[in-house]
Amino acid sequence: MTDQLLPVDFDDRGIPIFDKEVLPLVVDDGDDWRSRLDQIREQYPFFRFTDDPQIWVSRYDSARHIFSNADLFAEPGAGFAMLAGAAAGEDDDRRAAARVNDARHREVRRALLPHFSPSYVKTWESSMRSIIREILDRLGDRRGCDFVLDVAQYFFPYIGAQWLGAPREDWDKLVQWEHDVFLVPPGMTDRSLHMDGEAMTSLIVYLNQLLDSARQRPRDDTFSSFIAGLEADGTLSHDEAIGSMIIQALGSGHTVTATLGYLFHFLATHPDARKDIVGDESKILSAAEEVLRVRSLFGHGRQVTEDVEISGCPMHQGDQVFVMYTIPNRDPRCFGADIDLERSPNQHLAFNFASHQCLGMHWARQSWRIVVEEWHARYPDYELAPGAQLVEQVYAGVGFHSLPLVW
Amino acid sequence: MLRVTVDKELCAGSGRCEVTYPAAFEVGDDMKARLRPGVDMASLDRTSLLEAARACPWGAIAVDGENIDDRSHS
Repeated sequence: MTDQLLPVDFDDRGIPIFDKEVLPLVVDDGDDWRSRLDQIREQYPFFRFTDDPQIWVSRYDSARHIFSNADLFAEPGAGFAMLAGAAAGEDDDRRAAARVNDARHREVRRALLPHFSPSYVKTWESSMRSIIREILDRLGDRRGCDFVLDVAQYFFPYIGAQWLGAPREDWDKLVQWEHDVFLVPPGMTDRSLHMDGEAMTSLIVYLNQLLDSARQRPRDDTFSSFIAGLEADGTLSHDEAIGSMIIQALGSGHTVTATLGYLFHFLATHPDARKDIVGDESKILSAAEEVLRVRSLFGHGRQVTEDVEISGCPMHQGDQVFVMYTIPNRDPRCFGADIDLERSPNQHLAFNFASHQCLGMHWARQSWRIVVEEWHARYPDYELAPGAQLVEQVYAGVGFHSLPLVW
Repeated sequence: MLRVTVDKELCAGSGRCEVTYPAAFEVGDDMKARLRPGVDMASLDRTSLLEAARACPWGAIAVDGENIDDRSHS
């Protein structure tokens, strides 16, 4: 029985404030941090943490409402151009400005869709299989491996690098930068992403060079050439072009890696479910989707553009709200915290929702399926290494730092 | 007569079409968008349909066979 969590204070709107230690940035195995957030959700629809100005949204309906109304709850930047340094502006009418930004975001997103549609992703199936086979070949005759450090950490970043058009000799460099960008630096205490470290700077310089090189060569099917083409015909601005490159690279980094870590942890610890799942494409996807729902990666912040009340909570223009996906995704009003392999439909929020839903969603789904199929063709029976002490990074949704498996 | 299609594989059920043009679209129990059952196609406005198609984050709606998000891969 866990002691009930109590807020340390309430703000002037009556929103409870919890000690930030409730949610460490990194936890040791066995620290069920999600259950603490479940407790908070069941007590309060909104809450805050000490030293964090954001209002955290805990219930599914409110979170979905926020994601569905991008004019009232706006991206705190300018979407695809945000990472390239563009500012949202200081318009007096923030909601009108948010509408303009959202409309532009939709146009940019629409222009990028051809590289993110299910039909396009399917054209990559054989390349994706080649890459996972190459990675698994490295394991040789070993009777065990670290699934995160030996397999997952490389798989999608390699796909992303090939898709970008990066030369093979640069792939490991990209893997390292993408890994380092999201690592928790020593002494970091706040909970917002830091995008100004050495790895991020190196990545941006590299992506600019790649885009420059793509501008010089005829169009091919690489992402950098695709983006250079959209820039050349005026569909994307320079900032939007490099912003799209950065989002593609960062999205290729820890996201699929972390989800594969959670998925293979589930498969390694649920052998009966594993036997039922692995030979069936739709069951693989259902299982992966449920693991992602229950162990969702990090979250997304929005800025309130106009005073509004949501589920009884007064929100003021300029407030920052944050949805940590795992909290509403385990809301028992819709789902609960247990994995249901038969769940359909499964409209969780782990990919965000509506106009900012993860563009890489179909890449992720195909990745899960291919890795599960290729792995189990070689290693059908395996388990967690005895005595394995797992470390899980909560911050940024990096997931397990390592996952030792034996067979 | 207008022809409207929803690509079910692309549709993620965000409901933006329903919000944009509720007379034409709804999200069904399968969390996929569809034309409202029984809707009189002759009563629908092409401009509003195109606006709903543009609002779709996945470009899942085509009007008169034209997917406004359809671009060449090459």
